[in-house]
Amino acid sequence: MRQEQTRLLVIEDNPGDVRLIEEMLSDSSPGEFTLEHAGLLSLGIERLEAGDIDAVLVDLGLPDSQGLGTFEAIRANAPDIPVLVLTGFDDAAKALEAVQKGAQDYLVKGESDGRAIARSIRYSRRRVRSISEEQERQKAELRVRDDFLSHVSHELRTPLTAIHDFVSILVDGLAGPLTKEQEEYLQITLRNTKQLRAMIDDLLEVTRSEANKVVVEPRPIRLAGLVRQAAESQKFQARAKSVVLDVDVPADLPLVEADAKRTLQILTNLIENAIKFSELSGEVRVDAARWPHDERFLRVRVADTGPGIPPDMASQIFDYLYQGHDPAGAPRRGLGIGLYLCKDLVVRQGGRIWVEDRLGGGSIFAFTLPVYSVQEALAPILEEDSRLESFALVSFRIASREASRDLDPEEIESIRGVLERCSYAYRDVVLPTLDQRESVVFPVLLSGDERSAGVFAERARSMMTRLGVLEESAHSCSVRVQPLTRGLSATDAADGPVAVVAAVRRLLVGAGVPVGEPS
Amino acid sequence: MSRKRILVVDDDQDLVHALQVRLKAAGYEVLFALDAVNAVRLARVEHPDLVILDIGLPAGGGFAVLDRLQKLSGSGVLPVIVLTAREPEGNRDRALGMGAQAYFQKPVESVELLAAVRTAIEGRSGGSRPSRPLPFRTPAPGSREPSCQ
Repeated sequence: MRQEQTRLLVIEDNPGDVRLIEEMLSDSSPGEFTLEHAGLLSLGIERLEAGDIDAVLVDLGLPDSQGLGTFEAIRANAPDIPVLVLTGFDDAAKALEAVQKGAQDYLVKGESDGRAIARSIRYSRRRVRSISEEQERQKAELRVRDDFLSHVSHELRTPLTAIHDFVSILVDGLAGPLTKEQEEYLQITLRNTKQLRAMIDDLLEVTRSEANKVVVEPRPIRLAGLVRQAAESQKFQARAKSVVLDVDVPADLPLVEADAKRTLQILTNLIENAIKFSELSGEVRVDAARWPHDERFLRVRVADTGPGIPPDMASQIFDYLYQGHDPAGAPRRGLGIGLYLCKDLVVRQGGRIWVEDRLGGGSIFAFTLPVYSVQEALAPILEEDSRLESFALVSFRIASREASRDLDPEEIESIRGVLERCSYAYRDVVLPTLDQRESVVFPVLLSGDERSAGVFAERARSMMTRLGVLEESAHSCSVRVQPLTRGLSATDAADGPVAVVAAVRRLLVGAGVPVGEPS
Repeated sequence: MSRKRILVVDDDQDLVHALQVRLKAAGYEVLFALDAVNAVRLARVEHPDLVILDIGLPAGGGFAVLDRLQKLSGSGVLPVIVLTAREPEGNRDRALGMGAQAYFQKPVESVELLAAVRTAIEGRSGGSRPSRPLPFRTPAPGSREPSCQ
């Protein structure tokens, strides 16, 4: 059988080791491997980005990166390529940890011969391929199901619409006066039509939620804007029922660590429900504040003046496929998916959701989200080094060149994404983005001096350009590097994790980012 | 004052019929087209004040009609409300991006539809370009605090 060709990237700073591996492989499997070599993690990652590499062999201890972070940086940059860790006798524990985190295998220097290395690489490639094939298959299956349900939902809607429209025409008396009995029966028909519509709405939600399972990406975000957006999107429905939609969310709330898209989904769902269950001319009130019970969270409440939720049902309504009893005349709702999805999304962001009775009637849906904490965000990098002078702040100020056009949320997300990927070995932290008039500032706390910060900035900028996130013609990008010690008085400048966190917080607060540690 | 005229475009005759009854009762004059070609022709010849447009249409499709109508209207804006059985995901943003005033998925409550119709027509007769209320726009995540009254 003909051997498959493998282009192997060896990231290793010791040229002797590289030569040894090359010789062993060409002795044991002539012609099977083509070796490329990078002596630094940064160069290795650059080579990976250029593409065309089938497998990576990496030494965890490199001049520009040490330990597990080396592996993690490679994986973040090339998630689909098998990575094998190369290690000395004394470092096998670290290598094993890398395997637990997804490295395909580890090879101890001096212990493995050419045949063993070649075999390990071959198996790794096969394993990675079969995993991604399985994922592809699952994705395809979901896509087929989604297409099918899309089709079914579309086909069901058309006849349902005819029934709905003509029954409501009759109910509204547009085809002549009705007897009391006729009107009653038509109301029953209409109510059931609406229930059918809600079920069709839910059909697709299930597959979508399964397909989306993986993507909850918590980032430091502002809640106030999201609440207003969600309310804005439901304004029309509220007006149609003369429901007063009242939003009380202070703009200076601390940032939360949450996924903006998912949080918006939760808010929209709860507000939509609240309006749906409200009587005509009811009131829906949304507020957000620190959760008095635990200051490390913000609590959002959506209160309505609807029929309320009986206490014995309060915990069940978030269950999958839960169907409430139908108190006479109360509108029924769908397949029981909406609140289940809300709970799933809240829990996966580290919060909780519940419902309580509202004094004077109606119900209050409340959920919590964790407050963004500078201290927690920085904790991993401060473990190794916590001297103020070891850090620099690199700020990218990016704006659209088009007059009066702000960067849109997707652009902001992709720029953040690139910066996160640029951050070697996760030793650097992308801080909350600062929105300023006509530009957005992306600060990154870098472990390194001003010079290495300059290198990082250059690399990030070229990566953003190469990936098309930043177009030289459409965006302006200026970079500012400042050591963390700048502006600190001698008494401030004591080292230690607390001092670093305080310095970063001061910089953020000074720039207008509402970060508040739990008091 | 003459009655405002609405062009209903939908390939399902029952739905056209229901909309006719509903809109006439609300005081509008109704024209209708059952396919894309007739939709554009009628819009050009009859100069309606508003178009209610389905997306899944024979002979061209609703997005093509929307595109033609936007180009056709030239100096004055011809408001379009999309009313379709299709999923809002993807379609809603596309329609609003192409200049539609609102997007509804069938079936829609008549109060909601009539409110949108009123808003669209009043915005137009108000003289200047309507402020585009986009009542059903799905807000993009993470965007900066829009105003909300």
